[in-house]
Amino acid sequence: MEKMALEMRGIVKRFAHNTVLDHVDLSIKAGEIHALMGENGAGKSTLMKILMGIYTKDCGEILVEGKPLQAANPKQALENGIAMIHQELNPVLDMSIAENIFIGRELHKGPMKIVDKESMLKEAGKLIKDVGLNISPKKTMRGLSVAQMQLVEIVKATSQNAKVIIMDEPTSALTEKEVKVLFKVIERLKSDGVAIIFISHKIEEVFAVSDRITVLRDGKHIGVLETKNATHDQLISMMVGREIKEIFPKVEVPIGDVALEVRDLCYCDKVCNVSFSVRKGEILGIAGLVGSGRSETASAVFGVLPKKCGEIYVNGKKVEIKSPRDAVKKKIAYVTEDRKVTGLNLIASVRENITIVSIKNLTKRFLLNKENEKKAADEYIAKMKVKTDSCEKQVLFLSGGNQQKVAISKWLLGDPEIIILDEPTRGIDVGAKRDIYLLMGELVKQGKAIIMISSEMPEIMGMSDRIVVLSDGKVSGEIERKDFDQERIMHMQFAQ
Amino acid sequence: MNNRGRILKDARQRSGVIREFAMLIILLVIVGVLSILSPKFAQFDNFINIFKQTAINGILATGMAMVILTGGFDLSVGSIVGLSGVVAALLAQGNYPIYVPVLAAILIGTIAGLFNGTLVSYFGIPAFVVTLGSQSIIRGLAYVVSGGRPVFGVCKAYENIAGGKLFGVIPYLVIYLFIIVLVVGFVLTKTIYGRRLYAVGGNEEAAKVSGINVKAMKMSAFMIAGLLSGVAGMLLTSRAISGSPQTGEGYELDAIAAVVIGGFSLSGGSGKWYGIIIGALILSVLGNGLDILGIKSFYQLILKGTIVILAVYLDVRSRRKISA
Repeated sequence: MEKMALEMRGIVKRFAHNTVLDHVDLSIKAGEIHALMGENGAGKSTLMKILMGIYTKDCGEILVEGKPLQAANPKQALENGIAMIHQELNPVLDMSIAENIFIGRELHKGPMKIVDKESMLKEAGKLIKDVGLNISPKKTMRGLSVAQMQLVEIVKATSQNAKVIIMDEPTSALTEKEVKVLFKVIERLKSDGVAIIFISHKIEEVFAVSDRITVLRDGKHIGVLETKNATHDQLISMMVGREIKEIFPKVEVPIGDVALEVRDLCYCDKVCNVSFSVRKGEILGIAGLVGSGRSETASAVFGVLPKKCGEIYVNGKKVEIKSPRDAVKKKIAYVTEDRKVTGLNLIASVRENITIVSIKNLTKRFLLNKENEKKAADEYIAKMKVKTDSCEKQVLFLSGGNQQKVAISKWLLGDPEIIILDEPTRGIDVGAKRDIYLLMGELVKQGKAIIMISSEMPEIMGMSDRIVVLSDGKVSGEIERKDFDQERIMHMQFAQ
Repeated sequence: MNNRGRILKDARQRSGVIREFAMLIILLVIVGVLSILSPKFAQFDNFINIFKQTAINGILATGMAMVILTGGFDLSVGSIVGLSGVVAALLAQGNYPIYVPVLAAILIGTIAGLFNGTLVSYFGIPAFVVTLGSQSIIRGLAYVVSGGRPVFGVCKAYENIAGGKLFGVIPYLVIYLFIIVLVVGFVLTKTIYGRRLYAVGGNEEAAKVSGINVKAMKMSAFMIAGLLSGVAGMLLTSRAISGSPQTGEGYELDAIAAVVIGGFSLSGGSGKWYGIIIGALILSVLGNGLDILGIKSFYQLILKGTIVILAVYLDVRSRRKISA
């Protein structure tokens, strides 16, 4: 029998009367890259939290290299060889790489246990070189890119003899190039016999890197796939429990006049002379790597960031947009990249979030009118298929996909003509993604103009009529739908 | 997630309801216990007295609540009370019509709030630093204006503003308090402005992208806090028939305490208007009751501090539960 690095058998977790994990199994071989897939709410994170000792299981057993494990907290899990690289990294920004790697277990010397900086630096230098980081371990974390921080986290885990490393959406903030570097490191860990649990929403990546895939749905174990024998459709249908024939339901609508034109937009040195236009009924995709100035372009158009220069025309007329308020008045909407940071007031209700932009239109004699607000919120909850038991529920308690639908609803309520969607489907499940694609179709049918920023190639190619590619703050290319070609777009993204 | 969300939501809703009612229940329990311990406590006159003792802090707390809603706080309200009180006393010697000292006090408070708000909003200096600084500046001004001495000789008409009683029973002070709290309650629940205050405190970035002028909102909250502090200073001068530059020292902490005990979160974006009055009442009922029981005011200070820490701990804990 093959040696198992980790076995979780019959894991059950209940919260009050609800079973969130129902006899889930997960077994990982040593030196295996094992993807854990499932829609949001399938139970992936609960399962991982049990493994890390953040939650306690109600039933089932966990074996690490054949020995039972009952970790009470992440520290104990780590002592037993299980480490997790979180989606959002929390390094101590003003400490050096070396200090971060050895945090909590600093090397020391002498009877006074004085911190031995020399040895720490030497050791850290060796470790980070192993993963291809050619920088000084004296450097503070603040100066590193997200990808570099992630590598430091990985080094930290392996230097503590982690046998199983959980990576939760490790590529969500990385550029294509950085993903490649990360995958190389993962392959290396694998050859050293470390097992990797790889959690990702990006199907392409899962197929590129994993050996096997465990699929969860609604807290149940659906099955295990051998990646090399599996197909995309097979995996997706296991995840959603139904066949999705058409992932990108693109609708063809007649394209009208130019709705928004941006000329020579500049912001700091992040956006340089960017020009583009979008027509009524058109979906304009803006592609580019992280750091190419995609989001900054959108923010500068919308008045969130102060643009240095550039002209904006709405329906052919030049407009001044100095703040988001001006943009809202011009019937522009901006669904931001990060719904939790810039999109939603998480502690407020669904109703309060949906109505905040157009609250003026819902008043009665200048006073707030809860009935009007409820009606408007309920209408959008139904239209957008937001899963919530009432419009008074705090947004905090909705799943990612439903939060995103609320973040979009709050703009649609104002009936905008031009809609900017920045990564509209990031971190949400397949079902919610499809709902959002269908909605985009509805909107262009009504003659709205959509600008979609996305770093997922299949999505942007599947939904756009035209793609503008940004690279290093400049427009590096523009392609019509009939000429879409992944290779070409990729090349434009890397253009200097 | 759905299942888990629902349970969390149930727990949260329950704890939310409990938290909203908890303070009212605690208030009633304290009243009950004190009524049993001392026959002097549960008297109509004493209740009127308690409301009267609540008035100044309640008015200050109302202004403070606006600032706390936006995620800030104001340490200068006590000093504003001192400065506006002294100026009002100087102008209320009978040389000017009665509205002159009243308006002057309100104006001074509002300008102080404008100063705080501008520095916080438009210069980006943390509220802690700005209001700690202005606390000292404004207190200094109060000493300069008064020459460091209390100002006596306030005219009869001015004395009547806070000293009088409606139908000879209900002190005007209590009526002012209720009017102010009700107006602010109306603003918070019924106006766009109120909704936007919550939005700014709940998530400043999201509010900005949604087209709300966040800087102006934050500044206006400080101005309201300043304005109400001016009102409080004016009323205190009237009640004491004199203005002293020392008046109001430490009042900011009582105001913050009332707001926090009343269920407002120090991180902003949550809290109900009626919580302000409950929070302020809890503080004054305790003070009044302990006085009646003959417990020294030294111990009251210790108790007050403990309650504030406890109230914030409850808030922090309920938040932690959600994020877990």
